[in-house]
Parts: sequence; structure tokens; C-alpha cells
Amino acid sequence: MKLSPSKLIRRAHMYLALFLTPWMLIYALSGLVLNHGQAVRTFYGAKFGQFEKVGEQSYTAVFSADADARMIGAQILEHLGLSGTFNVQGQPNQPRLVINRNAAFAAHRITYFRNENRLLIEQQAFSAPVFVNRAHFRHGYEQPFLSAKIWAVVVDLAVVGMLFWVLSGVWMWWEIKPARLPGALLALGGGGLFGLLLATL
Amino acid sequence: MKNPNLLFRRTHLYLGMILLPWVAMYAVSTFLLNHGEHFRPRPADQQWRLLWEKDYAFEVPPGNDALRDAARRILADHGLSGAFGVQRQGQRLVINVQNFFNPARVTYDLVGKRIRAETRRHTAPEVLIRMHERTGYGRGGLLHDLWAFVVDLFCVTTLVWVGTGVYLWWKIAGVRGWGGLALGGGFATLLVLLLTL
Repeated sequence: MKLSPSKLIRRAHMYLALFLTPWMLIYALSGLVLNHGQAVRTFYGAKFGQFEKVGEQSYTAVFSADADARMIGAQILEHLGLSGTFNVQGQPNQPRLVINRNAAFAAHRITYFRNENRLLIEQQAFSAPVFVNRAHFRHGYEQPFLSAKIWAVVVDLAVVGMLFWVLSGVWMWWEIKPARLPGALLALGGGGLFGLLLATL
Repeated sequence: MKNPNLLFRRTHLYLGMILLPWVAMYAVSTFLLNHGEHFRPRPADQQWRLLWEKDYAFEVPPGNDALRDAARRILADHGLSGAFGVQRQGQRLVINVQNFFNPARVTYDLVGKRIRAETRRHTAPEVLIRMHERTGYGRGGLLHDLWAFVVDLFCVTTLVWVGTGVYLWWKIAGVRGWGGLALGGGFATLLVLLLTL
């Protein structure tokens, strides 16, 4: 079967969208959560997004002078069986280091009290808004884990997808003669509104 | 338009035509965020430049509840408006006025009774990321709420695109297999990633 350029564009538009459907659902739902943050917080109550203590334990370890905060964080997470994407707040020589373990379904906050050889482990209660927001905010190639890098590749694919949908959408609009005028008016309206808001906000 | 197929096609298309600039903006800004290490502002671009400084006396009420109103008054007294964030830092009140192109920082010295306003150079990536990150109602007037409304429209439209897109795919019998593979592949990839992140 020979595909015309028009059909090829239509098919690429569709298949790309079908593959990226779950990401688009996450971004859309999370966008609504972010845009109505106060209402969501009120709905879920005071405990929304809060971390609760799930454990405390001693942790005796000595780190070399040149051990950086990420290295310490990775070692502590491995010790706790929580390895994966994370970030660290604090400097390696400070008495208190906070490690945020950012998994998809659960977020842990581990506080390492260096002078006391103690770990405080807290977990964020799961809720759908927190889940979609965490997935929304996940990006970048800086985490040294394969799944995080693949996620970043999919984010790039979503970028390519959106740009392609814009260009192919315009192409497909132009091919439908009865839709040219209303489509042009709507595009002008959208562009005008975007320009107005960009200039005034 | 009695044919549901045509109705869905036109809805899919026309919503896209309205939101073209937002789709492009979110795409480019997402790329910037995903490759943040290459687009972080240089230290020189981060420096604040003094706009003006003057004597000013204003009694800032204690506590955080009245802080927002106090900040709004201070901004209005100096002809500034827009969405802002305010923070009490010791004996200073720092108000960050959000603006796509020219963000301003107003610092009020509570003891010295001096106020100064500063601005910062903007770069295209910063402007795009500010647009990407702007959400929420009730942050500074009608146009701000209009932006929030468009964010809602964009999110709902994305859900409509997904719904109508899946419907239109299903109506083309010849592509159900490949389309199902793409859709299933997307969900499977997401699930594997979520379980291993």
C-alpha cells in the first residue's frame, strides 16, 4: 500500500498521539490540579501532601572528607532498600542532610542526623493529585538511572509530538476546504489572545 | 452537524486551531525544562538592576495573614501591579512581582523605612518557563484569571483530544491493530517506568 504524504502525516499524527496518550492524560489532569491547587488542598484536608514518620533507626557510617552529598544519599538509600531517583538538600559536612526519594507511587524523605548517627524516615501519603503532579514534574537526564533517562526520552518525544501536532494539524486543516475560514478565524483569535496575555502579564 | 464522526473531527481540529500558540509554548518550554542543564541562566543574567529607591513609611501588620494585603498596598502606592509573592525576611519585606518579561523585586526595609525596586534581565528560556509554570486564579486581576482560564481550557481540551482521537482512530477499521499497539505500548511503557523509577 502506497501512502500519500497527506495520509502519512495523518497516520504519524495519530500513532504518535496514541502512544503518548497516557502522558497527555497525566499532564492534563495535573494541570487542572495545579490550576486549582487551593480547592484540591481544601478537598483533601490538612494532611494533603504531608509527610508522616514511618520509622527511625540508627545509622553508623563514616564518610571520607571528599564524599559528596549525592554519594552519601545514594548509600543511605541503598542501606534502606530504597534505591532510585532522588535529590539531596544540604552539604555533606552539615550535621543534617535531607534525602528526597522520589519514586512514582511513593515519596520518602529521609533525614540523616550525622552527629547522632540517626535516620528519620518519612513517607508522603499517596493521593491521585500528588501522583499526577509528581509524574508531571519528572524530567531531565541528570538522574543516573535507566528508567529516569527513558522517562526523559519520552518527555522529549512528547515535545516532538506536540510540535508535530501543531504543524501536521495546520496541514490537515488546510486540506479541508470548508474548515479553512472558521479555522483561520479561531487561529487568529487564539493567537491574538496569546499575544495580548504575553504583552500584559 | 448530525454526523458524530464529523462533529468529533471538527471539535478536535478547531480546539487545536485556538490553542496552537499554547501547544507550541508548552512544547518548547518542556524541552527547556527537560534539558535544564544547558539553559540555566548565567550568573550575569541573574543579577538584579536597581530601578528606584526612596523613603517610604508603611506599618506592616504582624503575622502572615495580613501580609498579602500589605504587599498589595505597597505595590499600589508605587504604581506596581500583578501577581506577586511576599516574604518577611527579618527586618525586610521582599515582594516578587511575577511578570513574563520584566519580573520585579520590591524590598522594603521595615526599620530604615526605605523601599527599592529592582528588575532583572530576561532571557527567552526564562520567559517561556515562566509561562509554562503560571497557573491559578485570583492572583492579580482579570487578565491573570483569563490566563488561568486558558490553562483550564488547555487541560480540558487535551482530555477532549484524547477522547475524540481514540474515537476517530477506532472508526478507521484498517488501523485498529497498529493503533492498538501504539496505545497499548504507551500504557505498558508508562507502567514499566512507574514501577521502576
